[in-house]
Parts: sequence; structure tokens; C-alpha cells
Amino acid sequence: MILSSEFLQKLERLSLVLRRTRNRQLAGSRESYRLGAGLEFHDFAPYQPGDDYRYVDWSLYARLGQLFLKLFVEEHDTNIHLLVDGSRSMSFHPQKAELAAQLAAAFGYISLRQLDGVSAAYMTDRITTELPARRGRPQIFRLLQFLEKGPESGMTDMARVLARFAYYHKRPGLLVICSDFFCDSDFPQLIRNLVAARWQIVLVQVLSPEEARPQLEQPLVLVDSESGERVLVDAEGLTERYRDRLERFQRQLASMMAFGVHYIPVSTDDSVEDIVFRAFREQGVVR
Amino acid sequence: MIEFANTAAAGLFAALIIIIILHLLLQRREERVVSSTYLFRELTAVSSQLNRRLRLRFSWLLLAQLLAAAFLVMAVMQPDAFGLFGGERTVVVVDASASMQAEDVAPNRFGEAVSQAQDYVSERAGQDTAVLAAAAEPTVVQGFTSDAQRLRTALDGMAPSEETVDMEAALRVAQSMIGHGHAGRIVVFTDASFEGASMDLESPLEVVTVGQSSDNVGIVGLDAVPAGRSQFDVMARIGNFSGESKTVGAVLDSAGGTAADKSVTLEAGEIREVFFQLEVDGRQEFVLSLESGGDLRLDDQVSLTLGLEERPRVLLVTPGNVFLERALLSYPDIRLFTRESVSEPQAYDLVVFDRVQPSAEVERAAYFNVLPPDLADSFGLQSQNRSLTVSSMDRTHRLFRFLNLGDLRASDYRTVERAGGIESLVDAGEGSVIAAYEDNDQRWVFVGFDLYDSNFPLSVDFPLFIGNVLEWLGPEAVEVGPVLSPEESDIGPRWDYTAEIEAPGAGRPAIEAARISLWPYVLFMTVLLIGAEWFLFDRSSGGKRSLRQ
Repeated sequence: MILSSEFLQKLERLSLVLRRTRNRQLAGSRESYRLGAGLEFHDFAPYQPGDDYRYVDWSLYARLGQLFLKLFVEEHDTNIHLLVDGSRSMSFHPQKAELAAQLAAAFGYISLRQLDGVSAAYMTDRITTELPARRGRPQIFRLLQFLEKGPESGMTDMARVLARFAYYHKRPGLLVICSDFFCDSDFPQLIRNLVAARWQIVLVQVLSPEEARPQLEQPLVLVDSESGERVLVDAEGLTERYRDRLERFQRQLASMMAFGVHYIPVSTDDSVEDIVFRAFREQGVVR
Repeated sequence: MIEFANTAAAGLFAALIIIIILHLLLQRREERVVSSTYLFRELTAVSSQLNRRLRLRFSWLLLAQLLAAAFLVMAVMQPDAFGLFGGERTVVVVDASASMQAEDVAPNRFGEAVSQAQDYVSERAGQDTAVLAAAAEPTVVQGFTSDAQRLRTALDGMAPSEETVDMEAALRVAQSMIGHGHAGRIVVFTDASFEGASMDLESPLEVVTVGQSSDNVGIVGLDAVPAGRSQFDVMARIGNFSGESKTVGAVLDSAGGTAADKSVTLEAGEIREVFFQLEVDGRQEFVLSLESGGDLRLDDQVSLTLGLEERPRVLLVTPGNVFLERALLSYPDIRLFTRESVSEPQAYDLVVFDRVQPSAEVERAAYFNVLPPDLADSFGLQSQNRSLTVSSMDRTHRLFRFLNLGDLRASDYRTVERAGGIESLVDAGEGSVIAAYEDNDQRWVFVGFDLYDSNFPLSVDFPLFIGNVLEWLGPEAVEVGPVLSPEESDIGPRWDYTAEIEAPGAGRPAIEAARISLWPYVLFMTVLLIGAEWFLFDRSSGGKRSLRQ
């Protein structure tokens, strides 16, 4: 199984930290901004004609002789969408694809346990395979099975995928993207659009040590595993210049944190347990 | 020491550059598949700039190929080693002076010297030998070679000169060709008819003399001066260099027949002047010949051209100068034209500018107190507003012949700088007041004061100076052909080399087998290198790798 039973037991202690959403379809365990038929009392409000008199506090009326409504925080579910990069750049280092799937599974497990609806999909330049949104604990096995199938192969086109995703998913929720984000298209703009549409975004960047610290000591022709593109590079100072370029790229991704996006860079050197319990917690994604 | 017989083949070393360029172009880069080149693309732009420099990486294959190519080129250049194995270099010096044309031996001394030198190099075939021609300046006719045929051909191509020999310079060059510290030998073929050549030689000297006769009477000087409108006084210097009294006939012939002749009796070693008076119509050519002139014919005839086609046309450009006009008119052999401004100066043989500014230079001109703007700029014409004080004077110049000029005075004067070909005849400290300039056909005289502000026209020197100016600037009325120097006409042996040349080891026998051709060994090295390259690089890769690493 993609996650061990011991690790799944540990995940029982965690819950996702999500901001309140406005919309409601099914009742769940999330508080929403809307006040209504929940269990948790929130406040009193003067009765207005047309209000549902089932919520009138009759004992208060007995004491004060005025009609007040009892207001409750409405509780409902949130849809969690897991997008896992299935391109060849992820499968080039198998640990990357495996870690991405494990992290997505961990998110899914925590969400399903909280009665949230969870959908999962592998993406390349499109959404290749998708597991439609399901809720309830029994769905955890289907989710783990789906993620265990492993990634597809192809080229990454994050912008195209996100554009299609936004088109088909009007109701905002939590979108978790596990990828290396090595992609030419302007996907940060689409992420900003999703945020504007009340989506909560978690970007998990999975890199292998070879990508984080490549050893390049002689003139090389680098071949792209996805496109086959050949790039001629000279070894002189290349390692340093690559490190600068990677840092710049990661700063660009991290800059999206300014408008509420969670950005979590992880390495395949780290264990999935360490990432979930340390990195995710530090980022305030789980608690 | 190593020398290359075919130095032109050194150009083939350019092939080494081609090999390096091919290595640069075919330098193979390792391919590495990476998950994504997304982050590398930006770096590639920088890297591409670095790649333009095409840095060459060290490669054993490249080294082997360069060495093989270099050895191959060296083999084509035919390297020869000498001196390394105890060989000796010989420089054959052939006297090519005028006296070597004496015919006391057949066909003449030079022919005999060349013939003997050819025999000498033939006998020593296979040894390193060079040929040097000794004349006024020594000339290397053939560099060191062991090829006797090439040496004989070089000797065949030699010709005698009409110059005096500088044997000392020739011997120095020969010694430097052998080099210091190397075994060598200098062999001189000469008639020894020159004054001493004293020096120390490091290498042994061997002298082969040709011709012993000193029987020669020759013309050693000839000159002529005008003695009237169409008359010339001709002076010939005739020397008897034989050991006994000689009577010879000196004949001046022209196209119309014998113009004059005289019989002269000369004692042994005597040089005497013989005078002729000639009436010349226009311009006429003469040949002075000696009858019974001895073994050297070269000094028995000298050509002489006298007179002018027509009287020189002289243009005087002046606002009015009675001194100049009178002085010029006193010379009947010119046609004088006086103008107040310059008009077609090229139509005259010479132009005299008196205080009238010329617009441009004239080929032959006398400038009185003026200079053309170009010359004024070039030679820094400056006005000195004070009385002239002469600081120095050059009385040896042809323009000052028969002049005294001891009391030259002028109130104001102008000077030119003493530079750029200017000959200062009268110097005033700040510059030259009277100057002459000569460059190929261009000649001019500058007089830096107004004649009316000077005592110069009142002196007796003035008409003489004008006469000298006309003679120097005007067309030459006397042209004399080449005359041999008395040293060369004296064909008897005078060089006592045994006393004058200090040459240790003279007479030492030459060491055989001096030169070794190295090209077969170099070629063998080339084949060895190519074989090693094939074994190490091509065989192991099934012949697929050629210029790649």
C-alpha cells in the first residue's frame, strides 16, 4: 500500500486547516461564514417577520417579552481536489512520483476522515485520469488504490490543466497540487485567478537531490526527459548558476504565499512522515 | 646544428592549425538526460556565449595527431644535422672584383677562379659547403649544402663586378656563417690584387690565387670643363701599373671619327694627366681608349658626353634687380628671360625668383629672399630683423667654388632650418641664410636676404656665385662614364694573407662525412606516432573514432 497502516494511524491525529468558504451544498464538519442550521450556537438576533420561527428562543421571550432568534454556525463539507503531476519529469526520478502520490494520499486520507469530499487526478498537459469526488472513510481505499497506480507519462502543461480545472469546478474548495512545477506555461497567473475565486491552494513542489544540487563538471548536452529538447551547457560555474536559477524559481513560487497560497518545497531525501508532520504543520496546512 | 633544405615546406605547419580547429569543432560533449531542461534554458544563453570562445581541452589523441603532423612536415623540410657529429663547414669565397676580369689567364681571372672553385666543391662532395661572392659588399650565393651539383650551379651563375673588393668584410661574413665554436674552413679564390685585409680568423684560411701578372695601363680618371661657347678642356688620368715603362696611345673617338689622340710614355707605377681640347657641336659623345692597355681591358675605355643640345633657358622673376640681370647676362651660354611674375616656369631649365613669391615649387630654382609656401612650411622659414652675423660657412660646396665671402653683410635676413636634406652654406646661428637642397632631380638654392640690403652684389664673389648657381642648377654639360679606381687597375698581387690573416689551424685536413640527413628518422617517427594513434584510439573503437575523443 502507498501509505503504511502505522502512518495512517498517525494521520488520524491531524486535521486540515482550511479557511471558511461561503458556499454550501452538503452539511459537513466545516464551519462556514453562513449562519443557519448548525449545532454550534453563535449569537442572538431580533426576530424579523419572515424568519423561521423554529429558531425563536421561547425561554428568552418568557423572560424579556421580546422575540429573538438563536443563530447557529452552519457546518458543511469542503471538496478537496488532489492534482498529482504525472509527467515524465516526475517519473524520471521514481522517488519523486512516489513521494508526490504519498503526499496526495496523506491529504486525501485526512480529508476523507473529516467527511470532506476528495477527488484526485493525474495531470500532464491535461488531466489524464481522475477519481471523482467522494466522501466518507470507506473511499480511502479507492483513493489509495488510484494514487498507487502510478503516474502517466507526458509533458507538463500546468496552465492548460488549471484552466480546464477552473472551468469544470465552479465551486471553490481546496486544491492540492503535487508537482515539480517545471513548466513553461504561465500557471502562476491561473493560480491567482483560482485564489480570487475563493480557492485555497496548496503547492507541494517535489524535487530530487539531483535537481536540487546537480553535479555538472564538464560541457554537456542536456536532454529533456519530457520533450527530448537538447540544451548545450558549459560547465564553467554552471552548478552555481543553476543553484541561483532554482532559488529564483522557488522564490517566484513562494511569492504566491502573499495572497494566501501555501507553497511547500520538499525533497525526496525527506520521509513522507517528516514532511507531513513537520513541513505541512509549519506551513499551517495541517494541525 | 640542424638546417632544413626545404624551408618553404614550413608553411605546411599551418596544417597543425587545421587539426586544432577540427578538434575544436568536433569536440564531443557528453549527453545527459535530465528530468527537465526548464531551469537550464536561461543558463544556456550565458553558456552559449562561453562556447563561442571554443576552449580546447587537452586530449592525448590531439597531442598524437599534432606530433605526427609536425614530424611529417619536418620530414618534408628535409632536416640535415651537421656539426653534431664532428663535421666541418667550408665557405668558398670567390673574388668578384673588377681586377678579376684581367685576361692574363684564360678566359680571365674570374673564370679561372670559378673553375677552380667548382673543382674544389666537386672534390669535397657530400660536405657542407657555402659560396660567397666578395666584391664591394659580400653576397651569399649559395647557403650551406652538401649537394655538389647545387654548388657548381651557383658558381656558374656568378658574374664579376666593376667594384673594388672588401675582402675583410667577406672573410667576416664567411666566419659568421661557419659560426663560432664550429669546425670550419674558409677557402678564398682571388687574384689578391687589393690592399691588406688584416684580421683574426677563428677558422683556417686557404687562399687559392689566380693570375700573377701586373701588366696593365688603365684610365683611372676623366673630367672635362667648358672652355668657351663650344670648347671643352678634357683631362684624362692614365696610370701604368706594370713593372716597366710603357708607351700607350690615348685616342678620343666620336661618331665622326677620331677627335684627338696622344701618345704617352709612362714610367712603372706612374699616373699622369693627359689633356685634350675639343670643339663640340651641340651635344656629342666621345670614347677615350687606350691602345696596348695590358691585361685588363675594363679600364682601357671610358665614355664621355660633352655639350648641350641648346643653351639653357633661364627665367628671372623680379620686380627689377640690376645686379642679378647684369650678373646673369654676363654668362653668354644661357638665354635669359626676365619677367615680373611667374609664367609657365616648366618651360625653363631654371628659374631665379627675386623677391617675387612663387606659388609652387620648381624643379630647378634659385630663391632670393623668398620660398614657395610648401618649402617655407617644410623648412621653417623665419625672418630675423637684425644685421646678419655669419657663424659658419661651407666653402667646400660646389656653389661656393672660387668664392671668399669673408665680409658678407645684410641688414635684415631670413633663415631656413638646417634639416631635411638642407645643406647650409652660410649659417647665422638661428638657421641657414644661404642653403642648397638636392633630392634626385630637384635642386634649389636659397639666399635669405634682399640683395639691395646687402653688400653681396657689390663684391667680386657675386658674379662667380651666380655662375656657380647656373652651373649647379643648369643641365649637365659634361657626363663621364664609369671609371675604374686605381686600386682595381693595379692588377698585381698585393695581399700578403700569410702575414695579415691570423688563422689558427691553417692547412688542417677537413673532417669527412660532415652532414647527416635526418628526414628518414623523422619520417620513421611519424609512422610510429600514427601507428600508436591507430592502436590506442582507432583500433579499440573499431575505427569509428577519428578526430573525436
